[in-house]
Amino acid sequence: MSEDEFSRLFERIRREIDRAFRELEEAMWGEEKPMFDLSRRCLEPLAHVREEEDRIIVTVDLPYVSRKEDISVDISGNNLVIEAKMRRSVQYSTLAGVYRDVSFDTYRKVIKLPENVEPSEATARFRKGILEIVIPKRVRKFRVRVE
Amino acid sequence: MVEKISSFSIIEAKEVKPRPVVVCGVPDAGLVGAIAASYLVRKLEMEEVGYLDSDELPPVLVFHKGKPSMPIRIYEKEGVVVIISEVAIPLSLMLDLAKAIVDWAIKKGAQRIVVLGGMPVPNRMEIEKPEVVGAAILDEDRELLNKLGIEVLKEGFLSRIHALIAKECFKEKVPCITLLAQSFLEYPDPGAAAAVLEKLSDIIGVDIDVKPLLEEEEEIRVKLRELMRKALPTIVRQTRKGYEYTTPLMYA
Repeated sequence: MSEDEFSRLFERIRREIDRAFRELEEAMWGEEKPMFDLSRRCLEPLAHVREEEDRIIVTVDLPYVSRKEDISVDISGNNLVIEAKMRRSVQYSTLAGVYRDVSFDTYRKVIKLPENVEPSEATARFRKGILEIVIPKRVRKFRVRVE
Repeated sequence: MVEKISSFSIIEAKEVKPRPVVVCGVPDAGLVGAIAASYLVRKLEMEEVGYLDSDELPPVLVFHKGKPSMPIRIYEKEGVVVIISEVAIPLSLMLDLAKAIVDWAIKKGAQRIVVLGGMPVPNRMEIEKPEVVGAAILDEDRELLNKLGIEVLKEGFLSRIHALIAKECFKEKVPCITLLAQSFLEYPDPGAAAAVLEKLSDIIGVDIDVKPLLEEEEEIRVKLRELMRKALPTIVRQTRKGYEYTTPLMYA
């Protein structure tokens, strides 16, 4: 096999491996469903969950929400349900290239929480359009004496 | 004119004038670079002059006002060229894209490449006006940053697409400045985009009024949710390596 042929083969294998990784990545991140719910007329906001040693921190981006009074945060079982009303509706002349003249005026997001959280001690704050919810974990702590 | 560089083809529908300043904005942390580049194109009423394409890019064609466009496009006006991507770049293509941009810029005799982006910080919620740092490849670019009062990155790592472009520029001794604003990682951040544009304005000597960008901040955040979600897996994978927060070995 000449050097050129080897390089071409190597390049082909590299691309195949890249492609396989991409497919694996897509499979891991799951099927992307649309970020809107036409039946409820609500948008799904972007949200991020960060797990620390003793607490879970959830942040949610809520543009067009101005007042904390327009936000509801409920924890039911292991579901954290966030709903918020926008101060103005968001209109799309076409949405996903298919739906015409649809508008939304609320957000809704359901996030699965781990088993070991303490929902009664959760706190939330809303600043600059970002909602932050902190939920403590039930952690059994012991101090081990060092001898 | 068609150029093939790495896995990318660069197609100039109109020949780009030599010696431009090349500004790059691709989806990354907070979509800062992409938002800033898109605003710049709109604000300066730049002309679309070409595009970059690769078989490995997501299979999409973008439509704006009924007209089809390629997802990675080249715009030009009065010596400034903007390269903007409307799609998340797969990790496996980033190096090829960086090489394609830098090789093409060299062929055009570019005065300088300026890469715009975000630098994710955990306390972004508390920050009113994001700070911007500039990382420069050549001494003269560091001098320029100092002269313009832009904080120069002295110790630390660049990462992700910014690092790939900067590395290619370092190898080829191409003037390159990376402007990074404190930003959200996972939410579109027009405030950070406005901050980098203010500094870019000083570098390229073109007035850029960012007030309208800040006024339409909420609209941008709503509309870019989907793109942010698509770009995030790649950004998170690269950010998890955490180099931005790492002290380099030599100075530990």
